[in-house]
Amino acid sequence: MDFFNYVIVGSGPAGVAAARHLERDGLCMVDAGELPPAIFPYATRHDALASGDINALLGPRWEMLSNVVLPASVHAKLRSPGTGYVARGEPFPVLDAAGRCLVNGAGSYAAGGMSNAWGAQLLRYTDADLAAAGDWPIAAADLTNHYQDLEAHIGIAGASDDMHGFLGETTDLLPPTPLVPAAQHMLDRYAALSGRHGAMGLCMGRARVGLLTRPHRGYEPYTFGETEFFSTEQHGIYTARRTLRELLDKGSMTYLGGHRLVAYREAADHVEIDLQACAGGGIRTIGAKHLLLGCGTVHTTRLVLLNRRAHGLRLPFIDHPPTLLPLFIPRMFGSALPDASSPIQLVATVRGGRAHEMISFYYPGALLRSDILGDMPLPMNVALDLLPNLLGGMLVAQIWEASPPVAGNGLSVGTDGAITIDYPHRAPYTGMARLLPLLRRLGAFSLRRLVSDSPPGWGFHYAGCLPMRADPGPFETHVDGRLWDSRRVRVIDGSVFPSLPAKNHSLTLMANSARIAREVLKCAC
Amino acid sequence: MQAENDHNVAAALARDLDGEARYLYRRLLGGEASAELLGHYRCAHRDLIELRDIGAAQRRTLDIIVSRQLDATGIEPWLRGGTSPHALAIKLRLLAYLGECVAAHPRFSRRTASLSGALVDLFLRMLAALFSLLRGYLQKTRHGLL
Repeated sequence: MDFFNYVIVGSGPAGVAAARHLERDGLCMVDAGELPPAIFPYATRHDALASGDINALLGPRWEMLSNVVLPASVHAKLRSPGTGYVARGEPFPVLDAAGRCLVNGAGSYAAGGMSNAWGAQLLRYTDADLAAAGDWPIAAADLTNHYQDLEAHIGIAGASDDMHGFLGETTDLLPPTPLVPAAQHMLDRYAALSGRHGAMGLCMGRARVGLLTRPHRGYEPYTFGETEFFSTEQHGIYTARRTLRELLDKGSMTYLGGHRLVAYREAADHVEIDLQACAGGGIRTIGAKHLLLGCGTVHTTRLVLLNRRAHGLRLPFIDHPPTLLPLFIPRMFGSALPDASSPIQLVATVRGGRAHEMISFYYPGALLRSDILGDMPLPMNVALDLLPNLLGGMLVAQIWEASPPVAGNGLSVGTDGAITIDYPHRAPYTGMARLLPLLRRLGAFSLRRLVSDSPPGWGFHYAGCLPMRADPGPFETHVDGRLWDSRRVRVIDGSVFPSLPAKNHSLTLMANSARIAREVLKCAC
Repeated sequence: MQAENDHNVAAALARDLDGEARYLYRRLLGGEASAELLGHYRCAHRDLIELRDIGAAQRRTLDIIVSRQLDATGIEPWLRGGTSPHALAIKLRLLAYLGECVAAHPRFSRRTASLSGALVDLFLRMLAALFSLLRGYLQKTRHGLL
């Protein structure tokens, strides 16, 4: 039996963050490691449209039309073959209070995990965030060194502006991403109003993203090709796969790709780990002093439940489904559309707002125009005529609030190993009455009837199933990541988050995983 | 004999599809659909079951719209709201995607290069939308379209 000091399962953000601290010390990473089935052959959306390549643009099996024939069947970002492979792990339905399926989701078996399709908003949590969400047994200061280390590793674009304190005290920011005219107009209005009238009821600033706006650590900048709906292979946007490649290039760990964890057994001085080959299904057993589970909340929780034969036990499950608000900035109608853009333009929060809501403003430039037609309550030919003039003055606000665990929202696994997520309680955003007038002052208009609440399951910020506690009970984790009754098995992904602050959790997920990895190094056992 | 019959049926279906595509394309985007686009339209109907297996009521609606040259884009909004999209909506969306991706139709990029021009254009398009919706409603009602 091959034996290692440490085995990490999963190559997503949590897995690679831990691996950076445990490499060169007898580390093995186990990874299903799926890669995209084909590479999108165009550097920009414009090039692809100019080519007329139907297979690349709409998919060899018309995958990009999936929401046309079956609305809301798949998240818009996961339709194409070049992105959809990211969510081909263990499937799960998300059920509402009546047991109806809201969303058919899946975990990730991709190398780099769900980070391949994320928006790369990488933000620090502050103590105010942790207090607003509740029940965190660690302080933001426990993560500071890890935030700094990861930010230097990744390269974060942003600005030291009015949102700096809210987003976290990141230093050494790369230049911020360029703004489309509509976003620049809003920001200019914000600056003028804030200067004349003191603090507005809204705080606004530049997005903070893991996107290179200049060369960083030998990596070239992002080209803003608007291909995020077609491909995960965009140079210059950070995903965990970049760190995975670096680790593999260094040869500092053993990589068992094409394998999944099926079971583990903890003994006094080691853990035996059963792995199944993705191709062929053969089982092999390896050993380790310490096992770190970083497969993503859904997969990790399933593995722990199956290992404990806890079929039917429902553990708390938290998601972060955003509220969507289309915005129209009439001053910018008819503006020239940029040839290149990044999706996340600006961020904001309501001053004195409940639970520190996080608002991200997106420019829908990467979507095909035909994607937007279905959302317009007009004859399609008229909608097509309007779009080129409207798009220059359109943004979409995505609004997140803090998400604590809610009784009834939970994940369970059946005797057949199938995952079910019950999510009867999806709290609607109640701050719209306050937000809309604030946005109108910035020249951005919308209507309440245009608001849509993303269904649970489409937030993709899954957390809370094995929450860390100072004194954990069954199916909870210690602050150092250990399962409640374990010495050698730890959880390093979002499962351990006891609640979700409003802000994007990705950087904190990585920082916390790094913190737990350092705890493992301290362990004398 | 059977093979020849099957071939004749397939050819007739293809001609029907081409005729349908040409008409809907003209209503949606204007101009003539290219042979390449028509080919993709037929392929989509071969590959997507939602386009092959259309119920009788929706098939009748489509046939009437095409044969009587009705305002397809004005009628379509009045067919929304069911448990699944109407076949007319799916076909129009398919043609929109094909027009954007294959034909690079100028309708997807045409823009008025000034704010005042954009606002005037917006006003005129909304008037056109109202007129089209009214006409579509009347046609839907008069022809009993479902």
